Amino acid sequence: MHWSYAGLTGIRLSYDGAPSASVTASLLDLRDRLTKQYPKGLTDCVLGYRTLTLFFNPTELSREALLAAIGDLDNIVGSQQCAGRAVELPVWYAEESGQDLAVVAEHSGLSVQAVIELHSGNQYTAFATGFSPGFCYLGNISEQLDMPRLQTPRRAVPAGSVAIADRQTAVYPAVSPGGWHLLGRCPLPLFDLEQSPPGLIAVGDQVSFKPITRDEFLSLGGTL
Amino acid sequence: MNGLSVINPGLLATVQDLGRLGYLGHGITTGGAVDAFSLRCANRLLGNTDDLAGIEIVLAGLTLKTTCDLQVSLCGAPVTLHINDEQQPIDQPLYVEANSTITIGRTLTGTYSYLAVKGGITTPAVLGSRSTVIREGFGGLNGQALQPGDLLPVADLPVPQDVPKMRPRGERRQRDETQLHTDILHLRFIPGMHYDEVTESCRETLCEKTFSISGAANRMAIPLSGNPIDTGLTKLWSEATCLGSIQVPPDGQPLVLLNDRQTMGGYPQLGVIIPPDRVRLGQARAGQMVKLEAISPTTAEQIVWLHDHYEETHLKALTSLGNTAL
Repeated sequence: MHWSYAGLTGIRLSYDGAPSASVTASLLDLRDRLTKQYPKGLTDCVLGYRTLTLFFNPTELSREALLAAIGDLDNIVGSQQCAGRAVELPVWYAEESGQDLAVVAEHSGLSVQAVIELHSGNQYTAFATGFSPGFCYLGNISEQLDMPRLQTPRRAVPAGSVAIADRQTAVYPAVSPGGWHLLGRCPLPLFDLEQSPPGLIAVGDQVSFKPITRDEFLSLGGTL
Repeated sequence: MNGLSVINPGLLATVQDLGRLGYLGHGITTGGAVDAFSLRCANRLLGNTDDLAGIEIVLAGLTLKTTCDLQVSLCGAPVTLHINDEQQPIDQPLYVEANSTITIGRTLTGTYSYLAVKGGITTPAVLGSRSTVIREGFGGLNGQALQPGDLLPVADLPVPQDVPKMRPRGERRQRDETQLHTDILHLRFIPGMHYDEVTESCRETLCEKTFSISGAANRMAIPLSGNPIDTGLTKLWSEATCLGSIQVPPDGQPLVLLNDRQTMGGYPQLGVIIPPDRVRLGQARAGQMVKLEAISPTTAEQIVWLHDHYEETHLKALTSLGNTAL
């Protein structure tokens, strides 16, 4: 682990090895400890795949004090397990809702049904949230489904689209441009300003996908 | 409901305050006035607190009609201001009668100006802020830029006709800030994030070559064009972006991230431009030549401390004037 400046009012902690559920758990533990210690001094804490960027209010908290509170950088990442919630998302996997199912099947040499079983048969860690409000980077998907992004991103991916790219998977909370391969659609709102927190998934959560039918998708509030 | 009726929104006008703070970890960007100091000046002239929302105007063309008596002030880029065809000074509190037309005209320098209203624009706050982020569709009025026919609500406050006049020192300030940069604009930054992972020649290209602001600048980022920078870094793990980050995508043309940036990015970030230089960059226009300069955090602290002190002193002077306007 090492630290660097993220401007005058930010510190970026970065783990040098590969991201994993236990790295995320360690960074979450540290974030929770620091936000408890400095409820006013820390203004924002953002987890990346293997980074924790801390932004502070310099009139409340100095960089030196924050670094001292973080302590020995070599002891941050240990064998912590992710203590996030288990979140199950219903997904309607079909050609109609996931237009890249066939392409992914062909690329991986599997049947469409096998792709669906592979994607829905795993639990994923929410490594980071960003890109757009409510968008969560989930990983890692099976090596067999590892596919590069689309050459040309789509201009508008429907809200709720469940997609994959590299070893990651995600649900698009709102209509947005997107370069990932689409496998299906989730009927649940991923982001709702009326809720607190507004995002359905938080970093550290363990997310799984449950295949549903078109009718179930519609009855859960999904729109075509 | 009374307020400001939008006749013509001009190029782009949005409701902005000091931004939506504390939600970066939820993937929600801050938004907020690109030149927050100018918005604060406009608010202080009216006796408003700093956190009230005003209208951020990009370049020119905004025309509004008042549906009630108001006090307004305009700060930022040195645009022309007309109230019912009569030119009025900027950097001054002004009394405007109901059914008057407010027109923001063009300027040769600067990009962002701020119209404040006594009591503030009172569109609903979302997560503690009225700032509009068009990409996310929230804040402001229905999450959008101002449209013809919109009615922007304002606080229902008594507005005395007598407003004190500010001595013209305010004009001097904004000329300093947004003067024609015929020379090169120097952008000082604190190296960080991926800076230690790039080669010496990459750092040299970054700091020794001159770049210019490309035409695609917006509230998300200011793209710079020049000699491509080869960071040699590919396939990074997504991580937090910073306000003022110098981000280098694969084409080697750096982007300086601004208020509406996405909260996460997967491209190398080589450092963060200090706030006063970031605001100067935000106010500059396409074609402006810029040069990046790495400075130590200690030097940056001294520069920023002096700058903040200067701003606070100026704001205090405006506050005493604004409060007599109560």
